[in-house]
Amino acid sequence: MSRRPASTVTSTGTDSDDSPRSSESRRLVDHFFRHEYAQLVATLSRRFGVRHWELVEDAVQSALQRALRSWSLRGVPANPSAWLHRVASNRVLDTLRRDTRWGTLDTSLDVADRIEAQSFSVDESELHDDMLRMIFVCCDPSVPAESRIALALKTLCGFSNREIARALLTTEASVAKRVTRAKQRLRESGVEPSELDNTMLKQRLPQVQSVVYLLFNEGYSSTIADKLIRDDLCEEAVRLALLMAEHPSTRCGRSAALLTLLLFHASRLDARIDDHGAMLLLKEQDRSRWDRRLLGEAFRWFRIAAQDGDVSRYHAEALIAAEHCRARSLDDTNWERIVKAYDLLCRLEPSPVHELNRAIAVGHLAGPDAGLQAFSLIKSESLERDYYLWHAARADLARQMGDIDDAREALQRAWDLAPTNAEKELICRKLDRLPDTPPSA
Amino acid sequence: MAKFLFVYRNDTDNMDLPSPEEMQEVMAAWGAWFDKMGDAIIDGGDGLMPEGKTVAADGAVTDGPFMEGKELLGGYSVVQADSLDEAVEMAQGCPIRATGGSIEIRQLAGLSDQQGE
Repeated sequence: MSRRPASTVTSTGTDSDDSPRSSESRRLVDHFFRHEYAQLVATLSRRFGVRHWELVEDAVQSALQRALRSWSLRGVPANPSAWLHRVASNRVLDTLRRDTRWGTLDTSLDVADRIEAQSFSVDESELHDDMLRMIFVCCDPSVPAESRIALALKTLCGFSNREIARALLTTEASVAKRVTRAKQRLRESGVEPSELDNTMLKQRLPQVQSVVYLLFNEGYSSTIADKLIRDDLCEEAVRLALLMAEHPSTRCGRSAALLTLLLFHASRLDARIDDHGAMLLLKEQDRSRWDRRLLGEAFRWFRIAAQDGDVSRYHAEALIAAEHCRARSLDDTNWERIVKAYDLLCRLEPSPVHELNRAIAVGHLAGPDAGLQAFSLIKSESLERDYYLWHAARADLARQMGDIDDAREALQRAWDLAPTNAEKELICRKLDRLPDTPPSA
Repeated sequence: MAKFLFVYRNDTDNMDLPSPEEMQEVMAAWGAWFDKMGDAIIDGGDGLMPEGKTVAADGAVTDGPFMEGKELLGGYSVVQADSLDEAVEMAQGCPIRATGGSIEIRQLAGLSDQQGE
């Protein structure tokens, strides 16, 4: 999620023809191609307009391919970003000119000619601005919510349809359909990146934040078996959240709180999985494996989020995550503060799932009796019918009460409902442990 | 020491559009191979654009690409080695093989500097 230094993206475009031979010259920062894809699509879409989106994407893709072809052998030029920018821009220009010759006059050529005259010197803040605008263009209200994530992964993160399909547990064809439909909507009724004003940015900010939040959740959830894709999703979400938290147009307590929350979760990513890829419960995790650097960043952003008077669901969730991250062990956890934070969350964003989590925290704070009572107050039939965690949580409380039979029954129900093998395995482990585990553990 | 031309050919049947991430993986593989060859590389060469033209003996100009079977000329490098066998050994490590491509190895006809002395 670290950005390359500004020096590699500012260029006059004259220094890209040297061909150094050291091995250093063949190395690129992690995910360079993917991030460059997203950045170039954003920058060129702003200049040429979303109506030329397909053209822009083709041009960027072909610029990357040309880079791959040449750089593999020649080495990476001194300024790879400027190289790609020039190649992709020229490709768009050439195509637009050809179109004009065939009779479709395009007014964007006026713009295009001016772009060609200027050097490809872009500064970091301008690039960030392009990326940010693109996020807001993609989160257009006219695009169905399920398509927004696919579109975000494609356009903002540089994922291929195949990679998106793997991430969203669907088929390539379905991803292609979603993305195509979303782009069509945007071409017909969407806003151009250059037309976005501050009012629109404000209006769309909640949707944008929710897409970034969902993006992270897709990666954080256990439903994807492929760890690499999972980590990538989380990393991309953090990258976008960081962009929003830092950019002058979107900087606010809510953006900072979202970033804080994602950083807290991200710090625990590796510790949640054991060496064999199995999910670990919070109490089973080796807390020394939590990423100290990310935790430090999270607490820094936490303070920034708290300075704003605004309190959002992201604040409440960040509060909960912060308490877990502060505790040296499960027993050391300040459950009182966690229950309070869940109270806040339930008020700001009423949801039976939040109440369920609150009931679990109440169980930790005031004992299984109180937990079960909190449970009984939750009004949701669908949760009990469909949600495996409902039964898993109830099983925990029953076990603590000493009702081993109840606990077993609830776990079996949870097993039936668990969506993936990883979760089923986790429940099996709980079932195995059942008769031997003393109620207080 | 003699100089050899490596001619890289891609398998056009295996030209699925790679994702940006996959492109970077391919590049990393080439980087690792070049690292291994080290000083043996005289000129890393360059890749070739897929499109081009041909001028025939009668002066007729046709559009490329010029396929030899299913293979498309993709690029070249110049390396030095003691023998053709050694050059072949080096070429075995080329990442293009992973995607169905091949490497043609040809000795340059001119004497290298040391041989000229």
